Amino acid sequence: MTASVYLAAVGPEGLAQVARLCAGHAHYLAEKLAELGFAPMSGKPFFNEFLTSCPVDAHQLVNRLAEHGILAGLPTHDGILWCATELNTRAEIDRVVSVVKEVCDR
Amino acid sequence: MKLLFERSVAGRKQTIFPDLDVPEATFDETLIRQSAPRLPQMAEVDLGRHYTELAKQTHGVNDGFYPLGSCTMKYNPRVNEQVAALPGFADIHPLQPEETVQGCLGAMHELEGMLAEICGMDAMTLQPAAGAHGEYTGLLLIRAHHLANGDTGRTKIIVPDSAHGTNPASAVMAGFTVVSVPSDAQGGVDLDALRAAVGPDTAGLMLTNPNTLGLFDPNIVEICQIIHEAGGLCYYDGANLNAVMGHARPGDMGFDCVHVNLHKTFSTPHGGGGPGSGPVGCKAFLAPYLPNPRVVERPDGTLAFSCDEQSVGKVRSFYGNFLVAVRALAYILTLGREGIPEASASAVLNANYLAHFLSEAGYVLPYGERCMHEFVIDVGPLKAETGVSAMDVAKRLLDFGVHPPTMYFPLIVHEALMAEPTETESRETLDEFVGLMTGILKEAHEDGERLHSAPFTCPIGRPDEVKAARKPHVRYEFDEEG
Repeated sequence: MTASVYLAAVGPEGLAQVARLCAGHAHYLAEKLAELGFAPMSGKPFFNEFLTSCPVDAHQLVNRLAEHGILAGLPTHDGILWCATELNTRAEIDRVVSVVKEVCDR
Repeated sequence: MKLLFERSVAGRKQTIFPDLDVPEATFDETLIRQSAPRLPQMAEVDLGRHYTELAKQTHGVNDGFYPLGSCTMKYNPRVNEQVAALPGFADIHPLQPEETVQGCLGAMHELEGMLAEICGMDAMTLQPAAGAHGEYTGLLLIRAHHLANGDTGRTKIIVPDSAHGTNPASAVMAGFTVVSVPSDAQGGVDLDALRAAVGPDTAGLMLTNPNTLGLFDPNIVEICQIIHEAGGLCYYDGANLNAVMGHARPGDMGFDCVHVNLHKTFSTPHGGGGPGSGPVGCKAFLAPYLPNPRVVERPDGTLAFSCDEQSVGKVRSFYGNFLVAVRALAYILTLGREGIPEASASAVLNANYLAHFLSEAGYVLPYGERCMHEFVIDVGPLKAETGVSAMDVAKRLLDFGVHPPTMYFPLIVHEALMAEPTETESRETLDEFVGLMTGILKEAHEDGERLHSAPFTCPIGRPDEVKAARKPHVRYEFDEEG
């Protein structure tokens, strides 16, 4: 029910904009993380979620982000899974990246 | 009324999302769809009016009396909705670090403890998504227990003939064979038939108490003893817990495991406002088999999820319908130690009041006026006299803004109407219902033929309910598809 109200509210144009925002934000985040040494684990296209290597301890990184009020990154057995959506903003993503950089620089 | 797609106007839209604030991601053309999705294009005001119209065509608890037997359609308190909407409960993700959801774990832990106390059990899981799912989970616990004992020959589950239809279905789903035992003349389990049914192949018994006739089985302790002496375990179908909560506990009657329906007894919404939730409780010896993970308290007082190797595994993703559990917790905390037994006492009183006055009005109550939270009317004699069936009476009630009682259940009464008023209805509402039912009885005697066409005021009258259930037509077909 909620999903059908949502789809009717956003309509065809809104849904496409959601996709543009999701993909744009995720690719922007991936690019910034790659500059810090978080290499994509797959060369294949991705939408709003992507797996990277994690040059620092993934759990420590996630905890540090949480201390900054950011829940980002899901540690996996060989890296870390990231995600960005239409609800995020460029400023928020920049904040995530700055905290990640701070952990990497330690 | 028009459907969403029929209200759609090309180019009409709502501005919800911001412009892209980062470079646009590019994809290979082969990955991009070539045509826009066919979704409705509407203004917010028209969307609002559309759903308001749909809501008006739907009867809910807020629209009128809803005595749907065995479903416990009580009022869903608004404060529960407010509590469940708190950001700390609503805006979370099940994969968040435990340290960031201690309050949610606390809510789950508290609710488990309170439900265990109400049911007389030692441990609970909130994972099952509804009542029948809870039955299935409970049966998995029983199976795990027997298998852990090397007892592979216990393949049969005993179910009384007055049981909810989900009981035998759940038993078969869990890999058991079902043995049905008849009811005695008073509507309880026939003890001699039960003794004859048990044996070394008995895995357990599934029982609702009070049963679907609204009768508390006076032999309940003996029934559980017969099963236990045969080596089986006893499962309590908690669908009718609203009749006894705060007064009697399944664990004290002899049951080993139980499910409760949060969407019945604990006031959380059914159906469209749901989803449901069917927590399962058990005695300590079954607790290691409960679905993983369970909420446990660490030595430092913080809470964490923990998995047990003996667990039957997960029965649902993550932790069940968590926000439903939050609503139930709010309900129990609102009612408290005094309110819980008061609610069930009022539910029983309301049912007895209604049973008495409907009997006085001329309806036949095959098991007498005394009942627990619900009772069964037998429309058979009226049908024999006037041709008016349980279906006709039920359909006529729709004209008066009342949801009918459950029809044609339990199966042991052929023209059954099963009514459960719940504690949340006032005396005035019950009196109005008696008045309506009295009027329908009069109509049946004066012009019974006419009632075969009821209802007369609803958007639709008598749909083909079998076809509607088996071949629902819920997909919009665009013109070009013919």
